[in-house]
Amino acid sequence: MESGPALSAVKVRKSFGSLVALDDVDFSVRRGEIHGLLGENGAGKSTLMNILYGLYQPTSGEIFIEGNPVKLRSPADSIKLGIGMVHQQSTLVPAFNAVENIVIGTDSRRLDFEEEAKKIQGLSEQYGMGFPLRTRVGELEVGVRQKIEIVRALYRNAKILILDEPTTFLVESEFEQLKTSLRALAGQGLAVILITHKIREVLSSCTVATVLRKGKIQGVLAIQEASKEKLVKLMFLDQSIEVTDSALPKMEMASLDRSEKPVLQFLDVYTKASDRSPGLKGINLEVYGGEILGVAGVSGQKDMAEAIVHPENILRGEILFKGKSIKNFSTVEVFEAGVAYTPEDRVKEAILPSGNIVYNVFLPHHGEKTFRAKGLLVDWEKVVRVSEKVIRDFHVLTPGPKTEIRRLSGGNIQKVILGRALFHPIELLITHNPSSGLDLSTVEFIFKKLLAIRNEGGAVLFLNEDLDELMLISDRIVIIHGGRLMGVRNRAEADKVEIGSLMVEGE
Amino acid sequence: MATTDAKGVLVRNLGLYSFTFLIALLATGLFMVIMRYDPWIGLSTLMATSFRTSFGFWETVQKFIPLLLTTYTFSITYKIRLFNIGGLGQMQIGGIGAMIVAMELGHLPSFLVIPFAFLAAAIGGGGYGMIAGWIWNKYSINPIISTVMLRFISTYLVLFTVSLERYADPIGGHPMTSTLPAAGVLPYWGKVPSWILVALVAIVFVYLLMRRTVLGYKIEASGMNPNASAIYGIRAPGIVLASFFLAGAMAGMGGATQVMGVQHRLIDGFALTSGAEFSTFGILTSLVAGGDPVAVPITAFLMSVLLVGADAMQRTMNIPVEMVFLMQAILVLLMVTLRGEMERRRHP
Repeated sequence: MESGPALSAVKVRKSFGSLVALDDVDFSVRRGEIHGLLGENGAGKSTLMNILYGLYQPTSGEIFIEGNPVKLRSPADSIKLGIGMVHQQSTLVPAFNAVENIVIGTDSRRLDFEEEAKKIQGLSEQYGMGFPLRTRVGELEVGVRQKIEIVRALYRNAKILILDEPTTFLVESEFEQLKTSLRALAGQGLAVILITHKIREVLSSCTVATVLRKGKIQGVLAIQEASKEKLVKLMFLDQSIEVTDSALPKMEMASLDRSEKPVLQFLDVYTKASDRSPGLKGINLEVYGGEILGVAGVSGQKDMAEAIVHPENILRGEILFKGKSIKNFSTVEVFEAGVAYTPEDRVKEAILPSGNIVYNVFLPHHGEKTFRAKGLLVDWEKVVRVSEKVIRDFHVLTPGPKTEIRRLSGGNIQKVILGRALFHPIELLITHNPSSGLDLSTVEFIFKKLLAIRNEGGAVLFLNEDLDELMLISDRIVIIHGGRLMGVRNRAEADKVEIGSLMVEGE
Repeated sequence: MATTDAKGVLVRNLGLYSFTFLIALLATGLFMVIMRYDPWIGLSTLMATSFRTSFGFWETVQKFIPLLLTTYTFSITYKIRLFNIGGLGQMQIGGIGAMIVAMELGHLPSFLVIPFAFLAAAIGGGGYGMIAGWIWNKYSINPIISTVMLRFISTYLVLFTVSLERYADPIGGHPMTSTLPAAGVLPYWGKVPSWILVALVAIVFVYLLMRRTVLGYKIEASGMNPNASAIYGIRAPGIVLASFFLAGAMAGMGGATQVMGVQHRLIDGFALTSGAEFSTFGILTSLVAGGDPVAVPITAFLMSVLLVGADAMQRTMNIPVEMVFLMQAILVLLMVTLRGEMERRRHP
């Protein structure tokens, strides 16, 4: 029984119309393995996992579990066959506790919750993943919630565990704990698949790595024979971009004297708390021209952006832009004064999905007089010209400016969002996770644009969940926790582990 | 400012319209057969009455004018994904406003009375519409509920107003006011109802509003993604109020055309036609046209043709006028499902 793979995909092909997402892929994982599936965004990792989880049907090819051919028509089929999935975004119900979340969806009418709680407790002890059983999940940290998701899969008798980009929302210390748990799982005979685009994670936690690029398998390596150079080469074969070990493009940052006067000042700023965020609780901060100020934190980043763009949210204190209070500014006036903003969630917060590119380019500028023809009429011809310029300057791949924006890829959507923010001179760009889910060349393109703003004397407020990205291009990093500033670190003295712990625990 | 490639959309839409219309026609014919009427005479009466005589044609135009306006009433708020099904109420308040102005200022020349009456109708209808918008902003009570409730109030307000001693027709057998003074009556130019101008102005106004103005853009944007719009400074509550005002103003002016052009008095049930409210037909028309500002006038005219045809069927063949509801219902269901299906195929 020792030899056969727990799961294998043979010549699996998946096409969406003319796009081939997976091109005759062979992939297999054995029990006891922690198998890294490595590739940049768009390489086909998610497509392959969605097939294994029964969400997509392959165009052709076969899947075997323990040597037997299987048809996975839905996630229910996959779960029945012992495949468990931990998604990138939490799928737990925040109002339920761990036990309820784990039991939900099984035949819970006949269940004795006390009994099940014991069973769950046993599972979590067996694999070294402790968590409170009776606390509402919404009150728990991300890392803890992830453990609950893993145990939920185990509770359903998962033999093969798939984790999709599990580290996205984890800080360094939580990642260490996750590694320990994964080793325990593999040690007890499970097959673990770790999907990631970060080379460092594969090297530090996996036993085998499969590299995908443009829908094709580039190579399968035991971790002993893998090295950063080898993996980079497989991931980015034909690209001339230099890559860091977190699979980010290397960036040249010329040292720059930042300006004397701050572009933006927070003076003891308080904002409203909501059920999703703590609000700001007395923030003091300066952002200077010629610097990228990174903001690290699990919560509170959005509140900072919102305080500037929607000054009506400020309860106490003041925000000065170029030395002037913006207290009585409307959103449109803030933008007119020279601020641009690209929100965190591209589709939900930044665009009008069913509108065309022209409509979307106009969104932040709808209040500006330069786009008025006569009185109240919009000068659409001018908006079209600007849109064409954005498409040209930002290399947006689209049939034309009248194309619905939702038909574009994530990277092209982001280029439109950034392009419309930058087509006229600005003094402050607030940008939240601008590179999430984008491929390497787009990430490089976007970071270069951010550096260009800085190099021309503008200020960038760079809100990001990913510490690797923050440390790559920030001149300074501030850490925010529960609406308070936990510390400021210069580029040179920034330490990932320390920043990570400040983000989670505060000081 | 077309949202997508204009020519492709036109071709697609023409195909869609002809197909659904044909199916609806066939189904209606089939029902006539089942009910033992002659489907050929029935359908030709339904389709051709408007074009056989000039009376039929201008009758159609007269139905078209308020139908067009109430179609806009539903379409404008539908842009922000809210269902304003209280066009009747907004039309009634508009009618009351027009009647009061025409009665009170009837001694003035008509070039003053008529614009004032329309203004009162627009403000009255718009203001009445805004109540539903305000309730939505403040208490999140869906306009589906509030506009229907407001219809009850306005229906009784009409009855109340027509029974005021100042306006009531003492010998009228039906609740209604006495006739408006001559200065408050809209003239015919030959056979042409002069208030066709209101419809033409509305067509140009809505087109410009939705395609060229900042307010139109804000309404459109807020409907496409209220969240993103709010982040970039388009506040939903303001847009809701503006949309409901514009929508109500359209219905209000529709009410004014009925009072001043057709009945020359305020009368209980003035907002009805062919067995149902103009506003109900307006909702159906808007759903068929998909709220598209260019498609609305054409669709509203076709619907008016059907309404006139249905009246004629009832008169000459004793086919109940409700047959037209059946056909329109089939049209709406087909259009809505087919459009949804097309959308689904284009964006899997």
